[in-house]
Amino acid sequence: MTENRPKKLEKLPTPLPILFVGIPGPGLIGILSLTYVIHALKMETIGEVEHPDLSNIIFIDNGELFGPARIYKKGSLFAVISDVPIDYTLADGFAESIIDFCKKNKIRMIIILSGLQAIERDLATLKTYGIVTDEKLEKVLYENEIPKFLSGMITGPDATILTRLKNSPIPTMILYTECNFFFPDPEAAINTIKTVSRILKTEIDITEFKKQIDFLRLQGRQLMEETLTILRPEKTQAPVTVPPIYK
Amino acid sequence: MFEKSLYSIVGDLFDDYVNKELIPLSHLTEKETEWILEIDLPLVNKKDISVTLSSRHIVIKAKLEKTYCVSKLNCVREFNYFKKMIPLPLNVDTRKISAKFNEGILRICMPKIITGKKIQIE
Repeated sequence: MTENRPKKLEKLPTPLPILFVGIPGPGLIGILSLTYVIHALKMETIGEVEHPDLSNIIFIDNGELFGPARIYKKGSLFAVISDVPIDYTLADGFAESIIDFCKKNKIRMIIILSGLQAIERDLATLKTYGIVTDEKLEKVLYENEIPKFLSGMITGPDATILTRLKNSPIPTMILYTECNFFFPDPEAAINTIKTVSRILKTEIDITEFKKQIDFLRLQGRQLMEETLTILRPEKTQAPVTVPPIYK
Repeated sequence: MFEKSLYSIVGDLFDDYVNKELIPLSHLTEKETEWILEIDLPLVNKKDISVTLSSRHIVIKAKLEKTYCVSKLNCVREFNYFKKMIPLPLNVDTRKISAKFNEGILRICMPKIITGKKIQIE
């Protein structure tokens, strides 16, 4: 038995309805990892995120029309993935649509997959950190050996989305994997896939993903460039140090 | 004029197609004593990279180890090279530029020319 051999996926061992969210961000971690999780778990498209500002683009594949932010499902697992960067003007509405979807589908936990700039990127020591908006999820971090993101700062659309979700009744966790901020980083995304695999208690075979690493980096060039144009302005405006926080 | 501005608008999308060469992603960071230029070169071997320096630019060209095919607008295009010309930052000591290639990323270190004179405090 090899480490990466998948178990049967017909029945996922999670009775808890969970929604995974992946949008273009640092290293394209969210998109790369969630796309592969959707593929590996054979999740099926069930709809699209409906938001007026997301309706100005539509993709055509094999003659079929697809919106940029789609919803997938398998059993009690849901996933929302966006093929276009969610900028500041979209982030609030996007979060609102996610909250509405969760309420309608009785989602009990949201897990957002994202990336975090590694100062000195070393593949052997890259970590995935977690932040939770509800104490109940601390247990999930502990059980899955996910270190807590203790101190730092979140900027960009992630911050807008997290602010909305923090004030919503749906417990949310963000997984931040250290990565190359400026280039698509599928090797770092493997850490995210492994963490998702632990949370779901389902092995996800990453052999296929590893074979495609170079092509994923090539394919992701344009999306990465578009994503950086959204992330850069705020990144330079953000303060360099964390202010003292009085409690 | 129109041609130039139109080209700059659609440039990012179609440079690859016009020049039949892929444009790699790059990132320039300023540090206290040097500039670090990183270029993302997946599917490339170290021996197939060339870095050329002129008085104002640095040109990176690299051969892909396999042909990369892109299907867009109902046609398939093949690419075998990366190429990018990047303006040199100001105040670089061109004699001391060095480069390293690791995990598909080319890292070019460009030390700054340190100038200045000590000011006496009275």
